[in-house]
Amino acid sequence: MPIEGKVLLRVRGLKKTFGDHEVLKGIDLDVHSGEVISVIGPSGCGKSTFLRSLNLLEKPTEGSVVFEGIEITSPDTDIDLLRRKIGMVFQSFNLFPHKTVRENIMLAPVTLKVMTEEEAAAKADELLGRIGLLSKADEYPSRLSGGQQQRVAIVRALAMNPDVMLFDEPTSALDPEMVGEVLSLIKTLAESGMTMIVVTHEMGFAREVSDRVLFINDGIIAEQNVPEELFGNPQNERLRDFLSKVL
Amino acid sequence: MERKQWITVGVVIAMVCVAAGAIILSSNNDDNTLIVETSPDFAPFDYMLSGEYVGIDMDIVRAIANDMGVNVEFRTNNFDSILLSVPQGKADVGASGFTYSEERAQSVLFSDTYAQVKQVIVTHKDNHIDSMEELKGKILVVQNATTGHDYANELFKKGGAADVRVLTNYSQVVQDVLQKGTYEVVDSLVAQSQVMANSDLEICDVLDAEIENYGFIFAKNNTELCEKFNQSLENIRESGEYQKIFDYYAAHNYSTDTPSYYNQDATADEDVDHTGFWGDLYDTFYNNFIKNDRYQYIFEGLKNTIIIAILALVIGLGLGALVAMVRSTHDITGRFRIANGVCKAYTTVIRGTPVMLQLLIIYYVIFATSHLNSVLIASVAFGINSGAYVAEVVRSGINAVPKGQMEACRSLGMSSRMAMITVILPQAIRNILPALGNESISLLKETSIAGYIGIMDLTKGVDIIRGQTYDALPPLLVAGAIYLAIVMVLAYLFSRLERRLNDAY
Repeated sequence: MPIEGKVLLRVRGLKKTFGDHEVLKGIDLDVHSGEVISVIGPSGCGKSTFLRSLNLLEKPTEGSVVFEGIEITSPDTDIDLLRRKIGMVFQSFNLFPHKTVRENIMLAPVTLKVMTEEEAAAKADELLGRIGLLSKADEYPSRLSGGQQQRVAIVRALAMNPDVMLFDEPTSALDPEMVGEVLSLIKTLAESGMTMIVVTHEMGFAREVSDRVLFINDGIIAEQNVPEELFGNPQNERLRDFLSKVL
Repeated sequence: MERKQWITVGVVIAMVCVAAGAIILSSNNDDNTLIVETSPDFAPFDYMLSGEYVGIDMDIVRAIANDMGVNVEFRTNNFDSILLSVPQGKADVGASGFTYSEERAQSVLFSDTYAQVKQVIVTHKDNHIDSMEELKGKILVVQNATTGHDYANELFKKGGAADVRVLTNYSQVVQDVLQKGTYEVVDSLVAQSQVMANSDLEICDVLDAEIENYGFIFAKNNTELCEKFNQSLENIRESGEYQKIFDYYAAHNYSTDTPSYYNQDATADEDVDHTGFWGDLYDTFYNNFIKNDRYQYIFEGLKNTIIIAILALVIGLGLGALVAMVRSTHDITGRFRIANGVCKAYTTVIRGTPVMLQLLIIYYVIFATSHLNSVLIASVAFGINSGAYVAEVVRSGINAVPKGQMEACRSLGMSSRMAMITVILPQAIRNILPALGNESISLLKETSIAGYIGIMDLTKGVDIIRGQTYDALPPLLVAGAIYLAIVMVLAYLFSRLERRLNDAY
């Protein structure tokens, strides 16, 4: 396992219960700077809940998450400040429909006063230029295709200059012909050295891009390995079963 | 928001401030002016002619005030409501043919007697009766809280009548007598006046009623004013002015066209009489709206209706938005536990009780000792009522914004308050605009009950016309048409606003 760099994100004993149902049953994980991790597993296994616990969109029932040396699960922590450094991309894009594409990207940096209006606009245009959507800067999201919307959502998160990016099934809501453009953007990002955790059903993508793949089943990490090993030589019974269905 | 929208918002706020200021300034309460409340549908004692308060009560009050060296400001209120507002000091004097009774004397102070009357029956000529026994099985109709009301109840208990129908003003009572063939129990002088105004009516003096004494009423603790009033009443009796007023109205047969003794030049306009369909139509229009400047009741009423509706809408929007924010914030973050409980109780109580009760409670209980202008109090009452509905509308609008919007904001590091202001509310407003349009329309129509706290709104205005012409249809039709026109304009404006917002994204 090629693990280099310092530990950016440390997860210990993470548990999450909804009512009587224990979704996460104790997860331990170290994410190193620059590492790209894919999370796979059957639906309902808790992989999305796990991802959303990392920036406290879900509040863990037990356990700790330490990001850049700060325990984000502690009540004394200003979670809003930490979230600026943890970008997130959702399955359903969640662009702001009443804002133009450029305004979508500018909103958080300007509202949070980390950039001036001009800086944010310049940043937005630079990011849009990079993904080839500068011509859509003044359009409302409803005028964009799903793939375009998701790419805008990705650069919206990037505008805050995050240290880690969380992707929650970023291509699941897309028409098949649009999956490619989004995956290739995420891949470019991975190659640029961004630390990323990607919950995905795209096994080919996971195999190609990841440094490490986690297989979550029934609320625990049932197996983790470099992609060649995990896909080529799966040990866990459930993983073999899962892979036989999706591959 | 663009600059143009800000200007619109600014103009609306300025209009509201001007309206509120005008209301507050217009409610003068200096010591040298007596506020006298009356129900001006009680000719020959209290009625209106060309916008002036006229009748025996009114002129005697004028004579007394003149003797005391003070000014008089007459105000309109429902007869039964005056018995509440005088003890609370909202008015100094009640002058509306109040018969002295032990029961009333418990709550108000009576002046010396200034007039004496007796209860009689008024009915349609076709329903003539010769004796009290003939009332058996008949329906009696009275104005609420009058002496006639008490008498009718007695008669009913003794089995002398089949039922007692209680209405709020005499115009309704007369309408009932004419259309439903019922029997009105009423003071003799008022009866004469009603018969003068309508030749289909007649008086049947068949009751074994006692002579009644009319007095002016004051708050229990206002003995000083009461004594001054009695002294001045004595003075005008001695000077002969008192008798002149009575003689003057008697000489005019107690007709509702009689102008004030003190303004005899202001003769009433003549009835017109044309023939044919168009002639009849013209006469109806003339008698209801032109004669004696009756259209002024509509203008004045419309003004109050619009002021109340606008102020209440603004109060309702502000209150509703605030409550919705508290409740939604609680739903999302779990903060504001106590405030959330208060807001929940507020929406539950307000939406669970009739607006009419709320208006009466706010006017007679909460603002009991306040001398604020009643238009302002009504605006507050309707605003509080509307706020509960607006709150639920706004809350459902906020709930209708997908959860992912809030999550996207939070994941970028924005607080829930920032997210609310920049992302959630702007989208919620588009969701709720149609419902807000409906709310403002029903608010406008609900203001039609403002007459119950003595405000002359559009509905009360046409009611007063009705009380003078005893002709129900034309004024009611006109009021209906005006409400409808305003509602259609509102609906049009809201649909344009909706379209603009929908085009935006």
